[in-house]
Amino acid sequence: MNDDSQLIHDTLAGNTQAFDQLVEKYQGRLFNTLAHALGDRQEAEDVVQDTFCQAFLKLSSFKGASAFYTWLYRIAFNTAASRRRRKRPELSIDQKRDATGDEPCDESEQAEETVLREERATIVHQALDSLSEDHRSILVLRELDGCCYDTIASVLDLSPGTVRSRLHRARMQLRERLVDVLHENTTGL
Amino acid sequence: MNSANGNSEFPEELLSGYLDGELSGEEQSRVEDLLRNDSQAQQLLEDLQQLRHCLQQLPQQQPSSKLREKVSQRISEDTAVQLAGTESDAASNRSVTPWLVATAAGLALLVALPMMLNQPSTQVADQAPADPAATAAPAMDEYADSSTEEMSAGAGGMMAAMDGAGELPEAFDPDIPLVYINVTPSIISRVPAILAANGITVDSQYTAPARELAAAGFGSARRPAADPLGNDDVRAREPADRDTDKRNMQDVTLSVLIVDASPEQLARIWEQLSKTKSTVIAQQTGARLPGISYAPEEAKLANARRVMSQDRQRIALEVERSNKAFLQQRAGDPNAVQNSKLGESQQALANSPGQAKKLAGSARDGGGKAAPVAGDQPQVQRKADSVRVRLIIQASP
Repeated sequence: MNDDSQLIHDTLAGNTQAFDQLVEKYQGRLFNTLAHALGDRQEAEDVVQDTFCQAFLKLSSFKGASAFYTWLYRIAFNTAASRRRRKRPELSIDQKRDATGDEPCDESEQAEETVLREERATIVHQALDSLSEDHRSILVLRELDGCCYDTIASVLDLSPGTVRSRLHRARMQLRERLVDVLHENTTGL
Repeated sequence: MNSANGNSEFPEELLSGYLDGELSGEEQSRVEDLLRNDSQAQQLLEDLQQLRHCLQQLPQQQPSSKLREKVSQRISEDTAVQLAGTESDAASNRSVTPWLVATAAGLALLVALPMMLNQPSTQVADQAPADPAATAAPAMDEYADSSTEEMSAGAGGMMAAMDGAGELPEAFDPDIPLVYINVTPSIISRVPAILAANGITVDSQYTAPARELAAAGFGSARRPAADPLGNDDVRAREPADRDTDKRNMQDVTLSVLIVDASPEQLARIWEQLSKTKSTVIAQQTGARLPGISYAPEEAKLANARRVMSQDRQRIALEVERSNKAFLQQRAGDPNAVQNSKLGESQQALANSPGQAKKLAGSARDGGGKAAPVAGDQPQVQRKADSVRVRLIIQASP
């Protein structure tokens, strides 16, 4: 029995601290993924809360066929999709960038390279935010979370073939928006 | 490559797959052949690698420091809200969480025995005016005509079985308060979450096959007072009625849990469960607990004794086996309960009443005399202010 299985088992036996440990273990990773995929820190935090609540209430239905975090991510992306359907219209790109909460540059850290990196991150964020949420989600799951195709397929309820084609389309769109940054990176990053 | 360089047969997305290491051997060879000769493909792969680098350089987003606290708070709130808000789907929701799969010998035994072993005649004066227990254990009212002789024989026989087996299992311990909780099927699946959200640990659990409910004469209020396995007056009824009986039997769900909890924790449980109007909570034995009605009934006691006089050893064996399955499950084998003879019997009930009886017989033959289960139970460190309580949780549609 791995750590997650033990914690799940303990939670189902009534030990709430065990579930706290699962929250502690996965909240950072899940929040980071959602913040980038949704482009909205507050929304990401709300989804994380909803996700863990749902996971707790449905924990007895988790059969261990997939990793716990895959199951958790699936709940998270389903929850995000449900909330999105209820909350149309979406925020503008500028609003999203503000909401994503990229911190302003630390005044004590004004090295040129830091400024350049921050500017580049802002541009990449803008480009990422300009994609559809489907494309953003699949890119974030692959590039930031390092999920394999099978895991992505499970989380987003897609076939592995669709994962490959959608991921490639998302990359091509992002590449088109970041052509200047990419060329700059080729020489300078 | 494809249209970009005139090689329209090459699927460009293979480059993504190549970058991700997700290609078959044949596909990978194909991409590597292309990359040796196609500068456009080389450039695209390089761009994709740069894209990955750019994305991975994005600053890590950190959740607020109070996220975990908020999650805990939300879990408590949502548990209560869902309890209050799910009555409407109760009728259509018949699924239950496996660990709460109900069984009838558990009902027969664990409702019957504790009352039998207690002396309720001294407790009737405390009976709640509204008589909620009549709703909490409805089917028992159907058997209020048992004779005094049967009652005596049942009590004496069971005590003898227990005495012969050694230490009294906790399920039969009259000193442990017994609380009967009747909820809808949609609520029963949430009981683990409710208990967990309130910090209550289930120390042990007892289950037994649903067929026993019919055999023992107990059941949900909607089930006719007869054996759905084909005995008694069910045969005399119309086939449609018999089908209804079987469905109703499968709808009856029950779980018996032994927990340690403080009075405050119990009060929160009563409060959260009581948010659904169809929930009935009534204490039936033991030292009186605050916040719920206390309603032992002579009629139910009489029936309990009658049931126990009929098949006490077999029922004791079912309890022993079910508790062992629970302990195995808690020790790490998630299939222990499902794989036990109980699981087979429950499945058999759904498929074939005859098979269910056969399994019951084999369980009986192989079990021998009733044995105590208390010795198998792990020692639980109890809080100073906690009380040990037996919860009998039944779901009625």
